[in-house]
Amino acid sequence: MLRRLLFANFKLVYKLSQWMRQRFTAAGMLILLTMPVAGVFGFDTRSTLSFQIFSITLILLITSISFSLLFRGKFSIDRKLPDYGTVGTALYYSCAIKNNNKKPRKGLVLIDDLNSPFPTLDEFIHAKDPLDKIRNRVDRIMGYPRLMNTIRKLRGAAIAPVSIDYIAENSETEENIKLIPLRRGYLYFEKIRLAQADPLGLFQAQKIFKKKDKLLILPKLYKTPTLNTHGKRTYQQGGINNASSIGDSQEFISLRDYRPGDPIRSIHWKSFAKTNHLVVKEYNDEFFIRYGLILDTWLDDKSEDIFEDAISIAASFMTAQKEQDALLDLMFIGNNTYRFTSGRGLGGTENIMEVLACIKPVYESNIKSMEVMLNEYMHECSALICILLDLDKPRQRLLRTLASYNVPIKVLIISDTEKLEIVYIPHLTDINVIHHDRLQQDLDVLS
Amino acid sequence: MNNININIKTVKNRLKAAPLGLTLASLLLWGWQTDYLFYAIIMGVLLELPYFIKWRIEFSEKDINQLADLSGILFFIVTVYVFVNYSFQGIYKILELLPFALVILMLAQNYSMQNGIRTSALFISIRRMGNKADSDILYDTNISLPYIFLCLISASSGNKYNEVFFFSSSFIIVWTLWGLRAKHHSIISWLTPIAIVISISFLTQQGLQTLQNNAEIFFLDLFEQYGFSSRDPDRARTTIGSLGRLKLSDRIVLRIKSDHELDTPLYFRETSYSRYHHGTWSNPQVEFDIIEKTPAKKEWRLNKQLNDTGNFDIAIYLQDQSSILPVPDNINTLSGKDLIQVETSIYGSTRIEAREGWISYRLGYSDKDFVEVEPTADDLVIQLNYQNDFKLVAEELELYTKSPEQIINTVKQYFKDNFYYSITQNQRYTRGQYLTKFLFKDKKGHCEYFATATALLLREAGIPTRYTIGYSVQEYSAWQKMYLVRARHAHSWLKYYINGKWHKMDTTPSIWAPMEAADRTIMEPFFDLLSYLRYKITGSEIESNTESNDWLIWLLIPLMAYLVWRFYNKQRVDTKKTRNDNFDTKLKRFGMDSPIYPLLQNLEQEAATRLQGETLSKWIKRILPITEAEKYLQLIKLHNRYRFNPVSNKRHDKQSIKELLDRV
Repeated sequence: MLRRLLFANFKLVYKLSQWMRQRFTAAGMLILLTMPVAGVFGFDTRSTLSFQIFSITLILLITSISFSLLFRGKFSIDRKLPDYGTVGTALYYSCAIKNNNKKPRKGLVLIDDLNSPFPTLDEFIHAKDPLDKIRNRVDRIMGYPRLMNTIRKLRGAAIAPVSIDYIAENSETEENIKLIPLRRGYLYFEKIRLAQADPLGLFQAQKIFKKKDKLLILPKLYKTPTLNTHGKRTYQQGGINNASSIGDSQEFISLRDYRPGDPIRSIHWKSFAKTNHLVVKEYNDEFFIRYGLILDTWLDDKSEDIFEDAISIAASFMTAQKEQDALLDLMFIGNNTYRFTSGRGLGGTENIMEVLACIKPVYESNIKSMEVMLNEYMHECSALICILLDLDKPRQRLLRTLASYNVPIKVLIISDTEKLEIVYIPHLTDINVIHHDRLQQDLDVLS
Repeated sequence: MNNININIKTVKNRLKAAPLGLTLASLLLWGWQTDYLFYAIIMGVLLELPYFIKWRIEFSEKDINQLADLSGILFFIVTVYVFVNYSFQGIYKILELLPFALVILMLAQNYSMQNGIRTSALFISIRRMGNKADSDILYDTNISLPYIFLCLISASSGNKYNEVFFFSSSFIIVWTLWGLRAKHHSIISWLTPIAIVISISFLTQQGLQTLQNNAEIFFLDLFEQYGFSSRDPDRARTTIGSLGRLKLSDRIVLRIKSDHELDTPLYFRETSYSRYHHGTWSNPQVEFDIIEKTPAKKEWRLNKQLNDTGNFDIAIYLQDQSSILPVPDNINTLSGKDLIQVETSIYGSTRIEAREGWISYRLGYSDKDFVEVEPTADDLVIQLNYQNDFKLVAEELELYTKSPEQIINTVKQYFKDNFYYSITQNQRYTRGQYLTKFLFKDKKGHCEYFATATALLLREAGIPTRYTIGYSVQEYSAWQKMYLVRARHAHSWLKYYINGKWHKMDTTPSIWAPMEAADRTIMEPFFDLLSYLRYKITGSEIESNTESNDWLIWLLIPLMAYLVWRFYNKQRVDTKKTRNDNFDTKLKRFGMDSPIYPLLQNLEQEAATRLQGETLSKWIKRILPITEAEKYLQLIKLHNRYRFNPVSNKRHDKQSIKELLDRV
């Protein structure tokens, strides 16, 4: 009940504060804050003269707002976005503004707006914020900073307003805008505001242009080790079809390191003589390596940071895989069971990255569905990478089942706690913990 | 895209620093209005000085945080000090002192390299989050403009020179806005709204004063109609006829110390009234007589013929400088350093002049007979519309045939037997009917009904009466060791005149006090404790009223000492010098600290100046004979190696130069 009441109030407070932030300049905010303080102390006009300051500030604001209504003009605006962005890395785009008036314009401010939907009550109640640990009790209980964090995440990026000093009459100017994506997925641009402060410099008149756009933000990438598992090449039903874009079955493709199971006749002896390593000639064949990458999406009550880490690691593996002969399957359970294949000319990295950019965590256990999916998959798989968010009992059971297939498995457990206990699972030795705070170091150790 | 090549003109919505002179101007206005002009000049000069000097103090973020905390502590001490001395009225005093509390932060900002205060210094919650806080809330802000506005509001508490203050503060605001104006508009288009603002706000502020006057008249009328009796010596409006439940607060208004146990309830009257008309008791124009202070004992003696037989030490909370004092009927003397003037009226009011807040004084009483003021014709008048009612009652009680003493006893018994106490009145009657309904129908009411009805009934029987209001002293606090009188102990009774003396009479059932006490809040002990602490700290404490309470000021001294120590322990940085130093260090890397330079300077002074572009070796060869120049040339060779050869062993080179120099 209290939460509902708070939520309703927060919505009002948020909208009001947003309006004030967009409309008032710093000087305007100073006057706006002075006014009620002067009003409180000046309530009794016989005790202080503060009511005079209240009068001045009140009339200043009214005058400013009235003068801002005089802002007129015809403009057209066009936004030019790049194809992709990456979480946490600043990206730059531009906006072309055309002044269609007969007079030049000065002192304009361009504010690009992302669509920032207000969280639902459910999202507000279940929102988690790692910063809550260092917030004071009132903030934690009330949850307004948490709500702000949720809104920031939903909006997805921060865009600073840009000033346009001068546009000549009937001419166009192009302004660069900096954007720092805060999350992966699509950013939805909604409108562009063109603002101009009133003569007193307190209140900004605005013209709003509806310009809808979207921009895909990819997950952060890390340096990952090459997959050098000891998995055998396996027969792939319909493998040739899978690899159709490469060529005929016995077409020579390249040389590569020997792997157990490679026929002796394909060893390239000349290279062996030169390098003292077994090198094989690679032909397009229905026998090839197929790696599986399972991404655990069951976040439960864990921090969203570790889910983001898991996505980033999965994306890093998917993009780092250079071998042309191997297929790489990305599997996860969202609303449905998903399996995306790349490698050997199938499904480009861009598609996989788009998929990864849009994965959302699941809050109800899906480990059993994953087990079912993997039972079907294990027969055609050469090696498996499991990116898990925990090593609790359901996940241990899953790993035990997978271990029984005798396929090399590399398990990466993403954790934000030092206390994670690694349990012994028969036939499974390659279990690694990737800690949230030292992600790259832990990945480096893997190789 | 490479961000290095991208030109982005981001708008930062942050406050600018105040222009030169604005801080000083606002502080002068504040100092002038609040009589702190001397301090204002010092503070203003100190705050403006950084515009003219080059050195700065290198404050770390932690230092600024500590200074902000210190400001906070100072403000807290000031608040406690002011609250203790001025009670709630002190809010304006605190407002007045605000520029003092924040000047430390301003000094830190103006003398620091940062030219701004990080929001984490101002808000502990942001500080706790450290660098993880979002940039929306964690940023550097220049606090000089907010400080200027704070000075303006603070100056307004001086409450002087109404119109001059308006124009002075307008001038400062306009000056501030000049620096903040939107530069793309012409000066004319800036001046136009400014002129409009000043004119309209001048009218608005006048309108606000008129509005308050009118609103006060309206609401005071309303309060007078529905509120409880006021302590106006001319008039007391009762709540007779008011609907709802009578409720008075638990606030302690009077503290009485007595050296012996009192026979409670003891009545402390405030004033008496003789005329009753539609719910209001009043007096004809009351004139107060000023009592002269006796030079010997420094006390005010109300009856010069009598000596005190006992005394009370009393502390009272005064809301006005001129107040009616609740006193017992047998009051004889008043003394105390808090009292400035004492006056009395023929209706028994004792009015004093003293400062607002808790004050203490000694009240002497005498058990001997007083010379009484004779009753007037008013003390026998009954309002026309009640005459028949009281006649009926008097006839019923056969008062016309009884002696005055019998009348008193009969009336007392009549009210005791037939009426009961109630603080709730739910029935609405027409005007002038309430006493009638009290007498014949409801037979219930609070003390005002009882006192008024009794007074008028006795008048009907021919006994002069006066309606009296005051307090009933009945609650003893064992731990505070004094009698406490609360607002809810306010009471009304009457006095009647027989045998040449005024006597007190209270027909209100004694249940009134417990009934009103039943309404007290559960927070009462807590508020009592607060009130007790305040009373103890304010120095109005009985017995210790000669001591000063300025000891709190001494707390500020170690704090100020700490502040000064912090300032002097910081590394002072000369900004101009720093630039030079940086330049020097850059050159020093190339050997500008070579020990040869003093020698070269000497040579230059003694022999000949080096020409522009002339190398050291050429110069030496020119000014010295070849034999002597040889030694110098070797030195110069070493020096050049020390200065220009990036791979040579610098320490060794320097040592060699020194050794060679010694030989030369």
